Amino acid sequence: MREVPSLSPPTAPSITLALPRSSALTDVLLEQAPAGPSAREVEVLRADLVHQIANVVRSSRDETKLTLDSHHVLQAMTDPGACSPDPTFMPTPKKCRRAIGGAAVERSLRGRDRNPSDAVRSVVEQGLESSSFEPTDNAAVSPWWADWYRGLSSGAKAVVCAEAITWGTNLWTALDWDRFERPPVVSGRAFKWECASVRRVTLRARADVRLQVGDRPAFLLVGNGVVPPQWRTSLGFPALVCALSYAERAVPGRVVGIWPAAGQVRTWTASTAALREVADAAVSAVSTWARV
Amino acid sequence: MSRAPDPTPAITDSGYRRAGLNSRRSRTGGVTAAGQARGMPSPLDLFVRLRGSDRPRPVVDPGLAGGLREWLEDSLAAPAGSIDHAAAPVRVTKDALSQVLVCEAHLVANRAAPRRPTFELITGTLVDVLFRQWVTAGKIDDPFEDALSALASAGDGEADDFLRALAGADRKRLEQEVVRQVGLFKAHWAMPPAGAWLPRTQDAIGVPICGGRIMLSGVVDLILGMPAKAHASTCVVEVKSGRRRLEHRADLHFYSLLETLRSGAPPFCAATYYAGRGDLDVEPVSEELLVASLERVITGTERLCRLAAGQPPVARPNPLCAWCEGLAGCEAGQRSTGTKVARNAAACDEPRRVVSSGRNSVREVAR
Repeated sequence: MREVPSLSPPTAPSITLALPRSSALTDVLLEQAPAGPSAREVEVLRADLVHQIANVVRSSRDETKLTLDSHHVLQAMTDPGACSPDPTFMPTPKKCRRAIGGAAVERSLRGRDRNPSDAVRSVVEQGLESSSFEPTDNAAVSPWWADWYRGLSSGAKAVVCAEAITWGTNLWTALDWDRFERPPVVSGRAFKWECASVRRVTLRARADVRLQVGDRPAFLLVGNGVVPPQWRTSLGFPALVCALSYAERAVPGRVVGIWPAAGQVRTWTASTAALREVADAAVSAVSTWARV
Repeated sequence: MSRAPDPTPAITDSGYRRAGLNSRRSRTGGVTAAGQARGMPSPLDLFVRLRGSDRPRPVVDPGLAGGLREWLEDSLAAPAGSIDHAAAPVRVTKDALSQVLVCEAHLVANRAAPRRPTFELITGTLVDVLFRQWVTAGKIDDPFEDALSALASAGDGEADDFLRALAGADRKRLEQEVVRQVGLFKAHWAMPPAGAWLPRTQDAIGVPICGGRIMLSGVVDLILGMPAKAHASTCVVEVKSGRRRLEHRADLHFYSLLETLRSGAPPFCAATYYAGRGDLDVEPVSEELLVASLERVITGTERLCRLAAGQPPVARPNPLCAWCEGLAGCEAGQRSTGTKVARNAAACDEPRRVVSSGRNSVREVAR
C-alpha cells in the first residue's frame, strides 16, 4: 500500500466509524446528548415561527391547505423554481421501499421474521390481506400502497419487493439492534404540527428509527444517494416538528442520518440555535410553496 | 428482543439443507442434467463458490478503506480543482472508465450521439430484471411479460420503445434468447439465495470524493452477506447476458473498490455470472486487486476531469475505431481505419465488438 500523507477529505464520513460500523453507529446513537433547548426556549421558538409563517402566508390569497415535509423544505432550498403543486400521487417501487422496507425491519426486530427478505414477503401479504376487506372500525388499516400493489403484474411486484428488501437490509445491517434495552420504533407514525394561527399550514416529518436514550429520544434517518449540502435541515426538520408539536422533552437530543449508498453518516445535535436554523428554512419553504 | 441477523456463515451441507436445498440432489445433477453435462456449476457448487466453504475468510485491515480513499483524494485533488465549481460532478461509472481508457475522443463522440439500444443491450436489461425477480421472489411466470412489466414499473421505457420498433422475427428471437437465459439461471441457482445471506439486488453505490466534485458510482446486481466485522463477509455478483470479456473483470474490480470505500471493508470475493452460458467466474478480492483497480480509476478519472474542464479529447486509435460514432470527424481514427464512414454496429454481421452508448461500454455484436 502506498504511503500517503493523511488528509481530511471533506466528503468522508463526518464521524469515524470503526469496523464493525454497526457497533460504531449504535454507539453514536446511544451516546447521551448534551442538554437541549429548555421549555421556555421551545415556547419562544414556536411563537416566533407562528408569527413568521403568518406573515409570509398573509400575502397569499390562496386558501389551499399547505402540508410541507422535509422533501418540500429541501426542494424549496435547492430548487425553488421547480416547486409546483403536487400532481396526483403515483406510487412507484422506489416510493414504496421505505414504507415496506421499514415495516419489514420492524417485523424482523420483533422476531416475527428472521430477516428483511422474509419479512418483506410477510408485509406485502398482510398489506394485501388488509386491503381486501371493507374498512371497519376493527379492521387493520390498509397500507397506502396495498391497492396499487394488488393491481401489479408479478414482474412489477418483484421490483417493489426487491427495492424494499434492499432498503430494509441496509437499515437492518446498519445497527446492532441487540444493544437497545427496548426495541426502537421503526417507521412509526409521522409527526405533525398545525400552525396555530394559520390553520392551513402543516409541517409533517417522520423518523425511520426512534428510540429513547436517557430521558430524551434519538432519531435515525435513512437518506437516499449521498449527503446533500442541506443535511442539517434534513436531519433537524423532524426534531423541529417534534419541538413544535410536543413538549421540549420530546425533542430528540440527537438525529443521526445515514446514507447507505455512500456509506456516509452525519449527526445533528439539538440546540436552540440548531432548531432556529431549521425553523428559518421551514419559514422560507412555506413562503416559497405559498406562492406556487 | 430479537437476535441480530445470522452472520451469513459459510456453507455446509446442513446449512444448505436449512436453506432449502437438497445438496445430494444438486450434486448429482438432478436440477439440471443438461447443465451438469456441460460442466456448469450445480446449485450447491455455485453457492459454495459465492459464500465460501469452511475456510476462514480474510481478516479485514481496518485501515485499508481509509487509505484507499486518501490515495484517491490526494491523486484527484488537482484534476478536480481544474473543473468549474458550478459544473456538475464528474460521474465515474464503469462505462465511462472503460470508454475513456480506450479513447477520450470515443467517449465524447459516444456521449454526443443519440442513444441506440441494441439487441444485446436490451437482452441484458431484460435478463437483469428477471434475475432480480428470481432472487427476490423465486418465481418467474412469463419471462418476457414479467420483464416488461418490471421495467415499466421502474419507469424504464427504453426497452418498450425498442421492442415496439422491433420486427416480428427479431422480437421472437429476443423472446427466445431471454427465455433461454432465464431457463439456465433458474436451473443453476435452483432457488433464490437464502434470506439469511441478506441478498441485496441492484444496490446503488455512490462515493463522492474531492468535496463531491467527483462521484464514483455503480449499481451492483447482487450483494450477499452481512457487512464485515473482523472478517470480510460480503460477495458482489454481476450478471452478464453476453459473452465473457476481459473488461468484465475490470468492472467487477471497480465495484469491489466502490463497496470497500462505501462500507469500510472489502468484499471477500467478487463474481460474474454469465447467464447466457451459466458460467460463474469467482475471484478473491485482495488488496493488490483493489490497488490495481484504484490506479485504473485514477487514470480514467484524470482524463474525465480533463474533459470536464473543457480540454480537447485525445484520440487514441484502436481496433474499435471502425465502429466509433465519431469516426467522421476524427482524423486519427480515419488514418487507422482508412475510411470516414463508421460501420453500423446494429447491422453488423461480423463477430466484432462495438462501442455503444448504453449501460455497457463495449458490446459484442452477435454473429
